[in-house]
Amino acid sequence: MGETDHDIVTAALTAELPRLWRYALSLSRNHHMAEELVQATCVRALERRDQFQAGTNVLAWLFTILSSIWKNQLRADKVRTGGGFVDPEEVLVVDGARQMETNNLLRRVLREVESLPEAQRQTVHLVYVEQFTYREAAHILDVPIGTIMSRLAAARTALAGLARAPDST
Amino acid sequence: MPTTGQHMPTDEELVAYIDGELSLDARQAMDEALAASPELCARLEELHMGDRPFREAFDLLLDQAPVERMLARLTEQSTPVAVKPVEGPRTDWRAAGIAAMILLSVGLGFAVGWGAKPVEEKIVEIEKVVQVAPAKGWRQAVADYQALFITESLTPDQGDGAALALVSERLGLPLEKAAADVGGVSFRRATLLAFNGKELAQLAYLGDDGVPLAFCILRSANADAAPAFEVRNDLGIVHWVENGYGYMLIGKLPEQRLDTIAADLRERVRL
Repeated sequence: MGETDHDIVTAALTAELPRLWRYALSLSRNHHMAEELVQATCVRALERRDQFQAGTNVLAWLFTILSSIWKNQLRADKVRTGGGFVDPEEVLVVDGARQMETNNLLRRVLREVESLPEAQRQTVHLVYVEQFTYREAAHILDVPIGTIMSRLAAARTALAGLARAPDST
Repeated sequence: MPTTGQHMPTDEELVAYIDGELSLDARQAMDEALAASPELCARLEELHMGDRPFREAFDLLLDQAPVERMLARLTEQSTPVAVKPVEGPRTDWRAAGIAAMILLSVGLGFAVGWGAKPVEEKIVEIEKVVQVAPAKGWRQAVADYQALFITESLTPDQGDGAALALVSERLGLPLEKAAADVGGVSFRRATLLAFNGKELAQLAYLGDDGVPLAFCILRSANADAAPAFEVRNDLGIVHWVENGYGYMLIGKLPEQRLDTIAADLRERVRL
């Protein structure tokens, strides 16, 4: 085990709450569920911190845990409880009139990503937002690298289509 | 067009090319294929149209993260009201945090120099413990607490018959025989604590050499386990499980001496 490994996990959890939440929001498209997802991730990470290997990417490890919880647990809960997806425009948007005025382009990007199917959205988030390598993203999502590549190609094709018809978003 | 024998690159390969994920060899091959095929160039351009300032856009969301609330959910473990029956793991985690907090706040009363620290520092230290303690289990939580004890913590004698009776009653275990001079250490006081929603008895002793010791007991569903030695926080621990109770003796003493005292205590608490 080693206290150092423990400290790394604890420090990473504390420091990366915003990024974990952002990913959770991207997956769930629901503010309440995003917080639940982060909370569950914290719980599991602390429970399993002995399994974290020093020298490996702790953020990738946390994203793996979050992805797994989403895949196996909360997503099903969401379906079961009939939570549904809220209007994309109400979730992945930025609060505050000032920012909204100055970031129209970026808001549109958020909406476009939100409109992608979940698997593509998740992959785009990991590779293009969080800048994980294909290999890391594949590990985080527990899928082959080829799946990462095909999801990104599909996402780019879809976004290219939106770029040709910007009004449709 | 690529020369005969070369396959036409797929969209996936083009995207990997854009993302810098191709090996050097594959990249060179792609450069050649693109140079030979306007059709492929058009396809590449199409995929480039799927580019977005993803990172910049999502960075806007970071400021919206309810960081304070999420951090508070980590620290709220210290209030029993906050413990809701959610998933099993979460309950364990929260309870561990509670235990750490309770143990810490009891221990802090004795810590030298604590009173002199600014409030902000105290809060930071408390948060540190609450965040670090989970998942370590009760022996680590007690070790964290015991590390705060000094000779003066148990001087003068703070023995209290009422406290001992309470602890014995709550644990359902007669502890009178253990509350005595045992192997060169003298009993000082009994304290009822809690860990993981379970009551935790702590009997404190002071050695002839001024070394404080604690003998802690809680109910356990684990199978009987023979005494074992370990070191946490530079403190020796002998722990065992017997007849539905978990026991640990902790203090800064050599393993052999702790073993001797533990063996004596073990006899004294046997039902």
